[in-house]
Amino acid sequence: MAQRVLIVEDDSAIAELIAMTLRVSGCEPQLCYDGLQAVRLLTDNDYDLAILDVMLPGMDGFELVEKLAAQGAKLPPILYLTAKVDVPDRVRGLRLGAEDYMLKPFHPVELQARVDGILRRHQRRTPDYRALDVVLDPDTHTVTKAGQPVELTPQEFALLELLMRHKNMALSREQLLEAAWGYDYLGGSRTVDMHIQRLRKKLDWEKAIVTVFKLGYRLEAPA
Amino acid sequence: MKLRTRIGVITLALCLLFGTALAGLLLLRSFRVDLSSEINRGLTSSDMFSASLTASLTAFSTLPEEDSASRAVRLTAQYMTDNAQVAVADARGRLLYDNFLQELAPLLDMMPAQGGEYSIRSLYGTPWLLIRRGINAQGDAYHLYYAWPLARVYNGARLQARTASLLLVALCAAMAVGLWVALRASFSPLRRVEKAASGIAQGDYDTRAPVVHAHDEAGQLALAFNRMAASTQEHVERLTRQDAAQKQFIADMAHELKTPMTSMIGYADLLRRTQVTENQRQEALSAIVQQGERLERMGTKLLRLSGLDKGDALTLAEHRTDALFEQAVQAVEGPRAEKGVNLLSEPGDFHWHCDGDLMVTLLQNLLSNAIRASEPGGRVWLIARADGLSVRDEGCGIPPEHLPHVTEAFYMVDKSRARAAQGAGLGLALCRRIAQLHKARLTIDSQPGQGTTVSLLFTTS
Repeated sequence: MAQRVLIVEDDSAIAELIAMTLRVSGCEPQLCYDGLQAVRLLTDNDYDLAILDVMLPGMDGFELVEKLAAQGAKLPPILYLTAKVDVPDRVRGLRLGAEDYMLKPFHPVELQARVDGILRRHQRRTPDYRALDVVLDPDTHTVTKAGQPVELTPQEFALLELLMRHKNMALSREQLLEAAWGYDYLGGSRTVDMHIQRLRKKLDWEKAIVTVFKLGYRLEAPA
Repeated sequence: MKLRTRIGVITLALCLLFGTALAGLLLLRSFRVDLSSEINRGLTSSDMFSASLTASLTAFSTLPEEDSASRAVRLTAQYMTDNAQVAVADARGRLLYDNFLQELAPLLDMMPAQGGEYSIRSLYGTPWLLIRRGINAQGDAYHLYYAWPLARVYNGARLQARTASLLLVALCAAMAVGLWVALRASFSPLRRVEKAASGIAQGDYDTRAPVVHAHDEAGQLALAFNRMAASTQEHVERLTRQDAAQKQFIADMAHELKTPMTSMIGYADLLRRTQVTENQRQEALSAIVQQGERLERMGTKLLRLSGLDKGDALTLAEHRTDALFEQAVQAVEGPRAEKGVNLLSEPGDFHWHCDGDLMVTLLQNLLSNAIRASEPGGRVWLIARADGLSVRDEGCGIPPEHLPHVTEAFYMVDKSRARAAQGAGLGLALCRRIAQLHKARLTIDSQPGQGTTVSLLFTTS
């Protein structure tokens, strides 16, 4: 059951980009290019998330939410997306009950992470820690492959968790390093390569963890 | 010291100086007159005494008695003496008579040496007129010593001097008060100008100085000050407006740069991170190319605009309208054919004195705006006149509230639509600048839903 996400953005290139990014992480996006149409869609349908641009033709993103809230409509969590950098705007958006705020230009991984975060907070999505025949349980801190437990170091566990959360999306060595060792780790990105090698061996995932040229690694598995 | 105080003090000091000098001169003069009349009185009195004494001595000289002279003197003195202290001595210097008070006796030693003279001497601080006369009576010589008091004259003068200086002091005090009030009143317009100036210094450019009397110096100063304040205010406001426009331009430009960047970076990142289908890959790549082209167009126009702003020289020459129109029409042929718009060009047979490249840029921008606004199959007219041209379309038109702003850089009536139609919001700003450089006026008339007419009118050509 894919999550339904409404994307309201007047620039069609950007709207398409968001849709493409969300499809990778298994959502079902719907596109809409102006404020008035967005009001209709939000009133008539039930979405798991709405991504709203602030500057919209017809009615801006803030007005839109104010109007719907005044009508007493049941609103999905909202993620604002805008090129505006003014702090007052951001504050206004958050006061109106926005879940999060994202500035353009954005990176797809960041968008994906935020969407993921919002959906999980609202229990619209339970994180899917299954890939191929491997299952990861963050609560008990255990990993099983085909039902058999696999022994992993804490760093290997952290790397695996991040890769599984962003299935089919390449993660840079820096992102992986930060997740497993923290910001202030002084070791180079070669450390990441070594641990990924060990992870591939332990899980027998030589093919599933793909090396992305000049960037990092991607876990390829059906969503 | 304040100017007002200084003027007051100087005025007061001058009055005091001249007042004192004048009063002193007058007092001295009246003292001299008094003194000489008193001296005359003394001399007259001594003359009379001397004459009476001579007569008595002559009369008594016939008597046989030894002391007949003393008796004659005493007798005369008894009747004649008024205020004077009198002494008479015989030829040998023996005192025959004196009525000097005991404490005044030293006056006798101060008497002039020769007869017929007088002198003024002071004893215990009191001035006396001392007269000595020789008297001849029947061959006998006598000396008359006469002391006449001058204290009355001197005391009178001293009293007058004291009264005069008291009066002078009172006068000065009154004058000081008067001056203070008058100067304060005269200087208050200046103070208000000063107050206004400090208001302006603190950034309150609305401040003006009140003009009390327009014709005196303070009034003239206030008027001049207000003229200066008005021109400063105008200047500051113009700078503020320019600054705001500049900031707006930069903010708009940053926004317009960021939007295509967002999709370019986003698509590129998506491509390198994920495995997408072939369709998605094509879609992403063409989005990147389109946005890149949009940035390039914007860069070209911005460069053109900034070149024109810097005042790159115009290459003015005579251009035939049909040649100019042909170039512009060719430049928009691609979009025109794609949309299926009919373009009707009526160049006529005119010669314009203009920069050919810029004029073609202007025509091209107006034409592509008209084509973009038109429906497929719509018509666009490009018509020349001797003193200008007009471009007319039957497209969507511009809502009246947007009309005043459409020539501002980055202003777009409908952002999503303008972007979808590949506009950067700079075309009309560029046209307006080109028109300005040619001393031409660009006017836009529009009826929403019926079409737009843009006219260019050369004001001098």
